[in-house]
Amino acid sequence: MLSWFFQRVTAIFLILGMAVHILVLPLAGERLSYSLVSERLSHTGWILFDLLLLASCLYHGLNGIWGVIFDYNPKSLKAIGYTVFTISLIFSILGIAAIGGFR
Amino acid sequence: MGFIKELYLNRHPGQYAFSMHRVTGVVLTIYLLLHITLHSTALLFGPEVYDRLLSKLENPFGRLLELLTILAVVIHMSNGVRLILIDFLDMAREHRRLAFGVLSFTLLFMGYAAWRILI
Repeated sequence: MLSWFFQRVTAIFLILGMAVHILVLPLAGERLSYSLVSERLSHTGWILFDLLLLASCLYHGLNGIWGVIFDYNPKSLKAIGYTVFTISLIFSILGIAAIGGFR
Repeated sequence: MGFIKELYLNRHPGQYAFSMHRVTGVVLTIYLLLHITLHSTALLFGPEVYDRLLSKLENPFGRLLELLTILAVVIHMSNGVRLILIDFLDMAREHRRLAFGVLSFTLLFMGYAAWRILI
């Protein structure tokens, strides 16, 4: 029940966040480059926005995958849960490294 | 893959929406993991490598892939709005009109995205 609720909460943030992400990056009409991204990420607001977007995306996507697997009545539910959780940890670290990697 | 069988057994907008939501959801999660991996590892090799990698998408095929990703996001997002309206605002009676809204918004936004990316 709690995961259903968080799926909705992240969904509502992602409606806004993904719209901004898509309008500001691929649809901005400028060629994407290192300098363009690092200029944007020199503002604290954008760093916070990207971190929040990363967390919501990972939670929403992986919780969704978990739900899809759950629909097919798997036997080792616990093992799948731990696997999905480990994947989310690894990609959180990678994502934070990507956001912090622009100088 | 029971939901593919449901598609022709259960022919109504809600079933189509469910299948599209599931397929785009899985595709987008795989895209997200690749997206994070690409952008984080590319940065390890410095700005030049990062820019060279991005420039590999500057061709018709790359633009098509970009548009398809945006299409998946818009389908999943507008259908998600439909689900939230049905769940939280009790609009299940309006489901047909909402499904039509999802389709219209997707087409409109993709028109805009295609104009921005292709032209």
